Order: sequence, then structure tokens, then C-alpha cells
Amino acid sequence: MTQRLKVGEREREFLRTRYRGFYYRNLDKLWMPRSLPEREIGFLTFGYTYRRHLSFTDDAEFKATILRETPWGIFYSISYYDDPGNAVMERKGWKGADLVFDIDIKDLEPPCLKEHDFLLCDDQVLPYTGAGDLSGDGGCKKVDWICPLCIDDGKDGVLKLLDVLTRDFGISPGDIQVYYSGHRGFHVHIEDGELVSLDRRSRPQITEYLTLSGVDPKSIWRLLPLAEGEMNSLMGWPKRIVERASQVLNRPMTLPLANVLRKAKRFNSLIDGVIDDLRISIDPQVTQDISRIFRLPTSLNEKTGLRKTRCDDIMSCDPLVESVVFDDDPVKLHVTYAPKLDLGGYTYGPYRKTTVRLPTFVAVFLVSKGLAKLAI
Amino acid sequence: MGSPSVLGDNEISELPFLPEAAGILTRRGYALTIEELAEEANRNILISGISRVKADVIGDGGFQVPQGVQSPELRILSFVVASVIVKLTKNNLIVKKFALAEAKRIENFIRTIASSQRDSAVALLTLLYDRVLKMRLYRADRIIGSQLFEFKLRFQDYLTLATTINAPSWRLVNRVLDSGFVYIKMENATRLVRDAIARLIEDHIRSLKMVKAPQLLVEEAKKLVEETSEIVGSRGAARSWSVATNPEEYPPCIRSLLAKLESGENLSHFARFLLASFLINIGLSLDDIIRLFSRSPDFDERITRYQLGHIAGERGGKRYLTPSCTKIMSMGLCVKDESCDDLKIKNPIAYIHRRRKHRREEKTKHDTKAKGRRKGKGVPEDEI
Ligand code: SF4
Ligand SMILES: [Zn+2]
Repeated sequence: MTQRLKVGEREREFLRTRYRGFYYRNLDKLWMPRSLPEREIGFLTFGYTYRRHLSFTDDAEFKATILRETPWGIFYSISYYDDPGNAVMERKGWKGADLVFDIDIKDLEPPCLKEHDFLLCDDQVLPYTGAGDLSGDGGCKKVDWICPLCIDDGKDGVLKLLDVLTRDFGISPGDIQVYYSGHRGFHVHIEDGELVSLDRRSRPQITEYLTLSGVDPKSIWRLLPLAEGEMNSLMGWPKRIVERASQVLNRPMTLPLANVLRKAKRFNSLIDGVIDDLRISIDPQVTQDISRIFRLPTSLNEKTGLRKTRCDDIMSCDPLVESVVFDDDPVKLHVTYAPKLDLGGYTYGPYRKTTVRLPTFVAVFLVSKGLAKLAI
Repeated sequence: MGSPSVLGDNEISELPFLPEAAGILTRRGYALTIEELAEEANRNILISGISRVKADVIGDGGFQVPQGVQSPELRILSFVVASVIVKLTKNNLIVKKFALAEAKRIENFIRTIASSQRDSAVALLTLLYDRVLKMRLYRADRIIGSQLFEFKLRFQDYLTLATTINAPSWRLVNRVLDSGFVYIKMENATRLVRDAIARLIEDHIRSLKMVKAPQLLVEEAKKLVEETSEIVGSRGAARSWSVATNPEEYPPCIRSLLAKLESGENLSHFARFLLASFLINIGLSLDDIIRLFSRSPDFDERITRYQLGHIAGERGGKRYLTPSCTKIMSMGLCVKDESCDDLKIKNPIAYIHRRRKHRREEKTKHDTKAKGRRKGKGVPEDEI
């Protein structure tokens, strides 16, 4: 992996003070997981260490610790355990897990990434082409950026996911919570008591279903009706796939038509193309790996200083405004480099080797990215 | 849901593990103890029980109800005798074989009824789901596209049943899912109930209490163990193949993971799983595998041993199969070369075997050509 930029000690102290103030003011609004005593808690400290296998008996103890230690990042296990604090995974006593999906904007490959992501190689800014791994390559650091365009692509991904979760899996919208991660992703949490008990072997099948991996085109072909009139009886993915294929072909894909395509050896490639278009891009590991710990909703994201924020009405929610929690008191900074930044409803930058006064929330963002130092 | 009394004595006698079966015996005056069963007067029952157990355990897929087992009570009693003999073998393999054969017989029974009396089959399946699986099998009778789906199951229930079956067509992604329900056909519903019935029969046998077993049945059990060990011995041996310890023979994806491990790179969870399940399934010993993994930077022998044991299906778990190439590709770990394409590999496990076979065939072709005689019959499979 390409290395990330480190944040200096003085800057970390600056962030830590801001974080403590935030948690102090918002302690009662901090989201608490259900059945907290059965969860493993993890902290990323301002000293760049991960502390895992923590556990708390109640919300008050958890909150008091957050205030006392002021972690940089706060995580909780999506799994429930008998003994969450046990450091040996197998001895924790797995009881069940929430169903959580992670939409990573990077995986959606929005075109704007090529424009705003960059490499910082000893003070030199290079565009990030996405090609190759630059580990050990002259101290290059990769910097991920966000903009309204890629956030919108993330929202589209969430919408596709919600459609399948509600229509195919029949999960009621009231049990689904959508969060903007505070950086480059969306997290979709399902709070359905019954799904908690889905075992380790069933979970990958849900991921497979959503990402359409391993679809056998024959299973689609087998369902195809003879006549256009019967097309409406299709459901689930076959319906979406057949509809999209019909669009591509510009006429209904009935069985007779599909058979012609099969003869011409075009059927499978058509279906494959349609599937590539329709599949939902979620990180399979997050849903399957039940030993994961996950960012605590409403806590701050150490990569940006933005809050992991509930975003239920995905159409109208504006993550780059709603996740901002710090005020706009000016902070004087030396900025190495920063592309244009859309945050809190305004646009800042671009900056290149300059000293500027910026609102606290922008300063926190740039400092968290390792792109700015305090100028006082 | 209750238990609809749709079943006549004939049907119940095909499902002898249901509590109703005991009711039939009492009603018909056959509530016999095991000791009484072993008496000379009940010779026909004994013989039918013995032939039933033999058909199940030794017979190769002999699924017909044994000859001469006609009346409902005799059928039930033959199951009782067979279960007792199986229990007495104290052999887990025999228990499993018996249970599976019995379950398959029931599966076939349902298929037979389904072809003539559809409604009875529906009622029977619904009852089995309710009673054996503690699940509700919903009636759907819905045409989707061009196919009729008789039933639907809640997707959680479907997954519980279908994840034990390995064919891709059973994966959720290849099914119709709508509003939380997976649509299934009658034959799917029949197949899905089979494993659960087998498990139920296994439990039934384990829970049998035997104070003093009649000598006659003990003898039968002994004979059964001997006969099976012959079979397992010969066939088991024929199927096993020499363990491939030479990584040269492994498929590209596995070789690449081994190389990474060698260079001290940390492998992802899935990569470890792939590697471990591959090595376990080709027959490497756990100790050998642990030695390989010990090069991993975050190696912890205790944890590794535990995880490997889990994948190998120790402690009563199910052994994990090696992931398919499709899966491996989707995880970005496939590094196939022409050899994979040439051998039409769908699962890395098939690689070694096919490659050897391929080479042999090439060689035979070659030899045949060279010598211009000998019909290239190839080397028999078990000589590998
Ligand atoms: S095709 Fe299969 S066996 Fe070959 S490298 Fe890919 S995953 Fe491995
Ligand atoms: Zn962007």
C-alpha cells in the first residue's frame, strides 16, 4: 500500500483539543450500539495505535472513557459476543452480528477521482492515475479527496442497494439506516433482530446476491417467457436483468430471441455486460467478515474530522454540509497543497504552498489529511 | 400451524421417525420391546430389519423399501430393528450412511407421490417442513416467467437449508427472491428437506437407549461393521490419491499465495482460507500446513491450529470446500495461465488431478504413436 501522510505532533494536539470539545458538547447525542456489553470496542488513539478488544458494561462507562481518552477514531464490532473483551477471536463466543454494508466510493470509480486524488512525492504534487502500487517508491504519499460529484455517485450506489434490500429481501425501510462515513463511503446498517442470527455461511450469499457474483446466465435463460406479455411476472434480479437486456436489444428479450442469441454465442456476453452494469458495489469483506470493527455512527472520522452522519433521505441529504461539526473560527495554516475543497456549503482553495486563515472545520480537514501545519 | 392429520398409516410408515409411527404400532398391537423383537416368533421382522440396514449401509443406493416389508407396522418395525443394529455398531460412519440412505428413500417417496397425487405431496412437504425443520413452507403456485413455482421460503430459512448444497444453481444469486421470499419448485422443496431428515434420524439413533441388547442384534451389528470396513477399505483406498506435496503441481493461484507467504507477506483472510482449504482438501496434514503458515508475520500457532481444525471439519463441524475459481476471481486472487484454461478448471482442487491425467494422456498418445501399437487405453485411475 502506498503510505498516507502523517500528522505532526503539534497538529495532533490541535485536533485532539477540538475532538475533546466536540465529544464534551455532544456526549448525550452520541449514538450507542444496541447491547453494548456484548460488543467489542476499538479506539484509534492520537498516538497512532489501535486498541482493540475493549468492552464496556454500560453507555455511561463507554461515554466517560471516550471523554477521558478522546480517541481519534471510535469503532464497535458488528458482532455480539459472550466475552467481547477477550483478545482471542475464537474465545469471544460469537452470538450473532448486525448486517452492515459498506459502499466505498473508490470502488464505484467515479471519473472525478482522477482529477482530485493526488500523490505527494517529497513536496512534489503528481496526479494519481490509479495505476500501480507505489510502495517504497521515493516516499510518495497518496491523498484521497472528496467532492460533490463522487459523493453523488456514492448516493447512487446507496439507492441501488436500498432498492434490492427492500424489494428483494423485503427488509422494511424503517429497519435500514444509512450513514455517510465522513470520508469516502456510505454505511448501511440493518437493525432487524432476525437477521442478526444469520450464520457465517449465509452471509457471503447475501453479498453474492447484491454484487451479482456467480450468476449463471442459464438461470436467467430458464425463466424467460415465450411471449412479451408474460415478462411482467418476472421478479428480483431476473426482472432487472431481462429489462435491461431488452433495453440494450431494443426489443423484449423473450425465449425465442434469447435462443437466437445463444446460437450466435451472444447470450452470455450480453447477460454479463448487463450484470456489470447492474451489480451493486459493496465491499464484500465488510458484510462477511464478522470479526470486523466498524466506525461508530455520529463519531468523528480521523481522516477528515467530519462526523459519520445519518443520511436517511438519501436524495435530499447533503453529506458535505451535514457532517461538518466544527465552527468557523479562523485558524492560520501553512498549506502544502490542497485541491479545491467543497465543504460546509462553501468552496475553498486550491492552495499551493501558502499561508492562509481558514475556518476551523476546513483547518481540521486539511490538518487531518496531513496537508497543513499550524502557523502560530 | 399444528399438525394436519393428512397422513394415513401408509404415509406414516414411510416416515417412521415421526412420533405417530409409535401410535400405529400401539394401535395395531405391535408395541414390542427390543427383547421381544429379537424373539423367534418375530423372525420376519428381524429379517426385514436386517435387510433394510444392509440395503442402506452396504447396498449402493438400494433405495427401494426392502422386499417383503409390506404392512405399515412391519415397515416401521424394520426401521426400529435397523436403527438398533446401527446404534450397536457404535460407528459414526455407519450412522451417517444409514441416515442419509433413509432420508433419500423419503425424498424418493415424496417424488413418487408428487408425480401422481400432487396435493398429497404438497401436504406431506408442508408437514415435514413444519415438523422436521420447524419452518414454514409457503404455498406460492406462481408462474414466474415461464416456470411454475409451487412454494416459497423466507430467505433466511432458504439459506439455512441451501448452503449445505454445493451446486451453483442453489446459490441465492441464481434464485428468484422477492419481498424476502425465495421461490422454489416442488422438487427443490423435496431436495432441501433431505439433509434435515438425515440429521433427525442421526439424532434419533444417538438418543436410543439400550439397556441390554439382544445377542442376535449385537451379532448383526458386528457383521455390519466388518462388511462396511471391507467396503470402506477397498473403495476408500481406490479413491484416495497420493498426496501432492510438490508445489510445482499446484494451480497458479495457490503457487502465488505460497510465494507470498514465503516472502513474509501478510495474506488476507480470504487468501488464508483459500490456501488452507486447498491444502487440507488435497490431504496435507495439519502439522505440515501449520509449518507453512508459520512464515506469516502475524503467526500464532494456537489460533492457526484452531482455524485449520475448523476448516478441516474437526470437532464435528463440516469440512469446508475449496472456493471455486469464480469466487477466487471475484476476490482478485486468480492468476490463471494457459494451463487453467486448457484443463477447464472450475475449482483449483481439480487442477492437480486433471493435470496429471492430461499429462498421462499426452504421454500415452505419444507412446502409442511412437510404438505404433497398444491401443491408448491410458492408465487406470487408481494407479495415480
Ligand atoms: S483459474 Fe482457478 S485454479 Fe487457475 S489460477 Fe484461477 S482460480 Fe486458480
Ligand atoms: Zn470527486
